Amino acid sequence: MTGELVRLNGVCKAFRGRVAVDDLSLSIDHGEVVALLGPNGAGKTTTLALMLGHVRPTRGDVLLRGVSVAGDRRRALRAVGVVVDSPAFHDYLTGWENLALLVSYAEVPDDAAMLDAVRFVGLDDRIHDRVGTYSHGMRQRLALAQALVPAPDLVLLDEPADGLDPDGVVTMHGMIARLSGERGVAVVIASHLLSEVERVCDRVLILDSGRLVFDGRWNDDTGPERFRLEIDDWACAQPIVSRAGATVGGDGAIELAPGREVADLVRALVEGGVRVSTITRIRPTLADAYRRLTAKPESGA
Amino acid sequence: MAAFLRQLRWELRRLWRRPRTYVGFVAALLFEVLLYATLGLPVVRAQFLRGAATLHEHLKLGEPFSALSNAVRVTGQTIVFIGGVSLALVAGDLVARDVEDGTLRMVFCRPVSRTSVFFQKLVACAVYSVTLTSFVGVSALLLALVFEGTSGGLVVVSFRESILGAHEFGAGIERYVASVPLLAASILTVPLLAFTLSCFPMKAATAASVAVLVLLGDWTIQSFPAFAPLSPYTLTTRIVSWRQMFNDAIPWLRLQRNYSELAAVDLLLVVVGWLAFCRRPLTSR
Repeated sequence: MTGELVRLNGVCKAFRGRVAVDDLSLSIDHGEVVALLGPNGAGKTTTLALMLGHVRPTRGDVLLRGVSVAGDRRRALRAVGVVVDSPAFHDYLTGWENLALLVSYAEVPDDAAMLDAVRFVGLDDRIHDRVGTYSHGMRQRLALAQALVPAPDLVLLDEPADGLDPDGVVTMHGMIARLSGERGVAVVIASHLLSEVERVCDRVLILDSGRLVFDGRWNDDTGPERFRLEIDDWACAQPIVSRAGATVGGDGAIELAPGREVADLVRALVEGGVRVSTITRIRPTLADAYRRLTAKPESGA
Repeated sequence: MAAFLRQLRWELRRLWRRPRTYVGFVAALLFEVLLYATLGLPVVRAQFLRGAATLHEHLKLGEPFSALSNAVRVTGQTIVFIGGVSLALVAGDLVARDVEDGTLRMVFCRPVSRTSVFFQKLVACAVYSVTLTSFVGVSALLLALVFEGTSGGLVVVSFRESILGAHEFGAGIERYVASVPLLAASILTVPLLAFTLSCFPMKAATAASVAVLVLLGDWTIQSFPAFAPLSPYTLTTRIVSWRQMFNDAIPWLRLQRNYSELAAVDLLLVVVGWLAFCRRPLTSR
């Protein structure tokens, strides 16, 4: 299935005069895996709360499948699954009972649909055990299972890999990829783990102070090219690097000015008597882009 | 309506699967056994008879110790001390504990309204209250029969409450059984108070503690002679109205007035709780 699934139209939300989300407009299509990033207080949680109808926008509208969440929450959320951060269950009930309990708030629990979700998350061998005996990873998988009943076309995940061991993280990422790939489910992930976002997300939304400061593939905006050079005489190289319009970062990496080629810099170094033994292109990371986009201007003295 | 009933069924199922729900039943049973065992001690009986024998003889009320008379005494004590605390604990848990644990956040990710969830929990609170109260009433009677046998009638005397009742065993059983639903209706105010408090942003233990403190404070004012002028204004004066069922002539008008006033308090608590529940934040952190 293709087409627009989520639309936010000029959404604003203020709490007692403090703006949490400011004129936010975006759309998410079926099957997309989208990351929602931003520093603490950037408006990620409020954006998710707006999508779930937990808070009403001060201005603007949130539409899921064309249905206004504020206008008809029940219909808008009918096929939306959610995994909150640190999901909690009733320890004295079994996984299956917890699942049925949560599903019952939306529809008549359907054993076949529940079993399908349980199998998808690989919890079928322990689903009839009490949740009190579950590990953190199993609780996280149970949380994902409850989000998959009834078959959703949108799943919102808040810090899905939080607290998981490395195997758990890999398993969770695999399940997110399968959700999108096999079932065409759109997934929105709010996360602080940038490596996770790099691995599983098609698209990144970066919020800062309630405003959308970036929307696209994270490597669409990689900034200036950066290299690491291994040279024998840094003292001699420094003025040549400066003349070539490049700068040396705090991490020792050389950042080229726009329009400059690394070959020109290397040639200038060699002609200046500096021996260059290796040149390594530094792959831009999401962390670099994120830091650049959310960097606060330094306050004056 | 079908969705509400389906969710209510799960709410009740969850309530009865929780070990804490049964603490009140076990505590009530142990308390009743303790009271019956104490009432059976010769030294206690002697002391009791010194105070009551003359009265019973003078009024021709018969034997002061009997299964039914003791059942009324024990039920009254158990429901105030154990019932009140247990009801407040469980009712306080219904909302506040779910918020503390984070399970209510999971629920509201589903397309369900707060009003619907509030009334499911309210009904669960009422069902628990009625069940525990009925259990106290029935278990107190059964234990009384075990400890005292079936001899003797039902005698209840309380000058403060204007109660004077003496009934044969058969009529006494009928009065006792009829009093249990009234007891359940009157004590409902206590769990409702805890439930309403738990709808505000506070811990479950705080909600239960405040409700118990209100109950004990109210009970103290109602029962302590120095506070007699304030007694007519207390909740406890109305809550103990169930004992009027043992009066020779049941004061129906007084019962009607007291239960109407309790119902008004209950309704006020429900409205306040609902408003608080619809506005409270769902995060415990």
